[in-house]
Amino acid sequence: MRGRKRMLEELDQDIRDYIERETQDNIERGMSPEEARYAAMRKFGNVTRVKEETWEVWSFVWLEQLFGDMRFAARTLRKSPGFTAVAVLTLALGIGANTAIFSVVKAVLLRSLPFKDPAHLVRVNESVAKGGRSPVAYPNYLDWRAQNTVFQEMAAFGDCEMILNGKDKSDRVDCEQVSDTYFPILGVSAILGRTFTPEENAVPMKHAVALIGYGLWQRRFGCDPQILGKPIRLNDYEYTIIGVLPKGFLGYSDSAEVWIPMMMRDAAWPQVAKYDYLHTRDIHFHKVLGRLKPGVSLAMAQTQMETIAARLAKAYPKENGERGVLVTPVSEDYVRSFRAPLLVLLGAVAFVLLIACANVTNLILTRSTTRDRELAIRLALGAGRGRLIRQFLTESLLLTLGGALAGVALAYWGLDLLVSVLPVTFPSFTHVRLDGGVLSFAFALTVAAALLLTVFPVLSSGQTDVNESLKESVKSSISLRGRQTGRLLIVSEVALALVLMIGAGLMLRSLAHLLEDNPGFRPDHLVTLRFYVPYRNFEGNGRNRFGPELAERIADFPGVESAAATFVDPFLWGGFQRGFTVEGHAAISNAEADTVYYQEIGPNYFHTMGIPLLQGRDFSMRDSISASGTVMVSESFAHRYWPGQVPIGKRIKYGAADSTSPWMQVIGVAGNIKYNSLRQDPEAEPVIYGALLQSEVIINMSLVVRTHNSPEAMLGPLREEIQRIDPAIPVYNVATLSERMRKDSAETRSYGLLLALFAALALMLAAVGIYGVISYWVTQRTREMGIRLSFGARPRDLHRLVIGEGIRLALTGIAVGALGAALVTRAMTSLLYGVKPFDPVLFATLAVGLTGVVILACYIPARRATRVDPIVALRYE
Amino acid sequence: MSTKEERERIELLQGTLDLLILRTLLLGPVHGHAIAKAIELNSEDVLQIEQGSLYPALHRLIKRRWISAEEGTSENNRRAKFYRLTAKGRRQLAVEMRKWNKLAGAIARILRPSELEGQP
Repeated sequence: MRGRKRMLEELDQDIRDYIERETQDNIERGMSPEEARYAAMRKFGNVTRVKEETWEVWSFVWLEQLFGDMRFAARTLRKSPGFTAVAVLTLALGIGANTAIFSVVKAVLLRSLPFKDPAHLVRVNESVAKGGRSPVAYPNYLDWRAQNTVFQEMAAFGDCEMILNGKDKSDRVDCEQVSDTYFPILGVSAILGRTFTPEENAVPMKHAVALIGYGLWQRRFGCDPQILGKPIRLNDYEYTIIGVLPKGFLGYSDSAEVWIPMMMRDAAWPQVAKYDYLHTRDIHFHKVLGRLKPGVSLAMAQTQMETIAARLAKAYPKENGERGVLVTPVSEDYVRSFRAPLLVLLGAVAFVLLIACANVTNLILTRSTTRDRELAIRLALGAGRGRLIRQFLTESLLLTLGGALAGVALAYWGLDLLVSVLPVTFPSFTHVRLDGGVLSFAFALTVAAALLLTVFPVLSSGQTDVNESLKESVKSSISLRGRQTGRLLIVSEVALALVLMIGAGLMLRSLAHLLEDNPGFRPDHLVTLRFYVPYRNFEGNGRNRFGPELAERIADFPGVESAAATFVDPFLWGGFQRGFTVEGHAAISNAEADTVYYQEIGPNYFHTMGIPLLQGRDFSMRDSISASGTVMVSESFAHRYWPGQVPIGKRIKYGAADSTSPWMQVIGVAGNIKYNSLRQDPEAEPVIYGALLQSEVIINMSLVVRTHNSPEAMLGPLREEIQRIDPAIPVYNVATLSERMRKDSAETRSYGLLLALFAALALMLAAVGIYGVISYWVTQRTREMGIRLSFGARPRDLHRLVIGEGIRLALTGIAVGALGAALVTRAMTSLLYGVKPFDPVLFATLAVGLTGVVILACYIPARRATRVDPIVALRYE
Repeated sequence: MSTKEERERIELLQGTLDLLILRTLLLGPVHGHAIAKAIELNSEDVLQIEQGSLYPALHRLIKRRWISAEEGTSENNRRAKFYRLTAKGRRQLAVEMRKWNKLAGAIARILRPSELEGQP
């Protein structure tokens, strides 16, 4: 661009020359010199603008203008520090909240999984009626694997708790039993030794080998480099360690530390060895993964798998008749429960940012009305509309950038707090932090906010009348459009705040329902401890007496009122489902059987838990393996299968009507309780209580203990007492029932509190914003108020005038907000409990409260205006 | 000023001005005012250069190196800036003219049938 500078320097001369010549021509046409010059100037046009447009031809102009605009904007903002501070702070709150929530969303919902090419990794489940999914029967997995052409490879695994037997003490570890294809399909190899070979997964009980996780290797074996070939005892069976897995790898279950070949299952659980899971299609235990071939989509895989499942359903109608197949991306397994609440939170902070933008827009507008003269002068001097828009945009951008800087700082400091407030246990590989992606998001928000902030000032500058604005006297009038914008801002702030308040209200009401609804038992003074029953305790006649006898001994412990054994871990694991038949009742479908939970309990369970015994009697130590089969049911079970009849003496059995299981007689009916979660509807999920003393397959058990005094103080002593009785028994999952229930409601609580926090922020911002708009209007009408007052209007009338307008706008906003909430809160359905997304009482209460806030925000400026002496008001200018 | 009625004047289409400037300079280097005058005279005052559009156009052409500018002395011995067609500009003019003819021909072909319809 050598010529550029020279060209521009000479442009002035050239233009002068041009006008000179035109003048000359005009004189020759017979005009007077003055007239000729004037005509020439008029014909040429606005010299300044022509020069500007010519300069713009020479590229970098826009950049120069940008710098110019920036300098100008910075100067303007510096001149009104109050405005700048309020605007930047408001935007900082909005952008900060969005940045913080987005960093959680990004880490949890958009993160990459710690597996090779997770996009092509899918989970394959059996599907049952009503969209439910179930684990997979091993023979089905084998058939799928043999018959499909859509997967490069498939793998099966199961996860469970195991006991790592030690010399002095035993520990509980999470374990996965896996097929040999499991590690290759995840793309994970051992850092020491190797993973499993196909031979190790070909023959049951032949290869007792194990892999251990990095953490366990470090913790238990001191990073021993000679670890390969050494023994490890799991559930009283010895394995040889053949490999160590990389640091951070915890398996698909994200908690495993030990892996054994799938064929070693009988060694891990000799108690269930008699169930031939390898060849039985009605034990649904395995989790199945598949890796899609290149070019095969999820839908294609689903289609082919459905064909295979249909074929299997035809071949094995009894076991597979109701079973289909469901192929889903693996990310769903990690994301599903977080998606709805996190998206709701993200929506909430977006609303907060919108309200913040509305407030700052109002600030800008208020200022731009006083800047009308400046704009008019610039327009008169030949500034194009485009230039003015750019100027506005630059100013907004500077403000939002300031807000973003402060907001990101806020998010940085607040992030740890946020993560600690969020009760959810995110997967181990989730790292919530402000990374490049989050910062890009914050920057995109900043630009979007700047654009939003530019829209209204540009629209209202469109009507700046150069002549009018340059006249002194009109400076205090608000334009019609200015007023309309103000109204629009109030209505939208009220609407947005109401939606947020309703969202938060729904969550808090759900929380209240969770905490207040009767769980069916007395949770105070209850302690639960889980322990593992060593296999030796199953041998001989001692079988199954271990848990109930331990409960009897603990019941004698000082401070204990009563104790009982159960295989359920309250609010963590609610038992399992199994097919059953009710005598004299039509066959029960698998889908229906899946709603019924099977729990085994020892004597005294109902008394200890505080569950009312409605009919019949409780189990006693006499209901043993040698006695005839007895069973108890929950009230909802009795309602469902024997409505209006006496359930005592009725008979049920496991499996189909023709199965070899013995009939069992109902001896008692207990009240309904919640056992899986506080959100559970016990009426929809009845329970069959079996007697632990007649059980066959118990490995892990819990004690529930009712204490006389503080249950927290009993946690340690009870644990020690059990280990004193048998040091080889690991005791874990020790907690009070109240704590369990608090944890169960913790997600609802913290999502609710976060929503309430954002709603409060929104309400505060909206109140400040409405106050700002009304104050401005009132100030602009000081003169009018003075005139009214001097003509005898009472201050009360004037208050009514202002507040009336406020209420009208608030009502419009509330109507819009209620409509919006009715649409938006449906997204929250899965988070709610005990309330409907559309809750008229809540809507009405919050609407009234919000109107009150609006009235207050109108009253304060109105009162200030009417306190002014009419004379002063009339002089006010 | 002009003798023609204002309404009969046609404002130049975007881009057409570039073509006309190039065509005018084909006859030899001239200064800015002469270019404007030549366009108006040669079109018998039908075409009018829009207020202030000449200079941005000239500089656009300079930037594309289709014309160049140089100091010179005009007929009455005054210093003035002369604009001259470059070799590149000459080639561009040929291209632009071919394009224009094609466009004009196409429009004419579309318009002609309606002219015929209007005749008895």
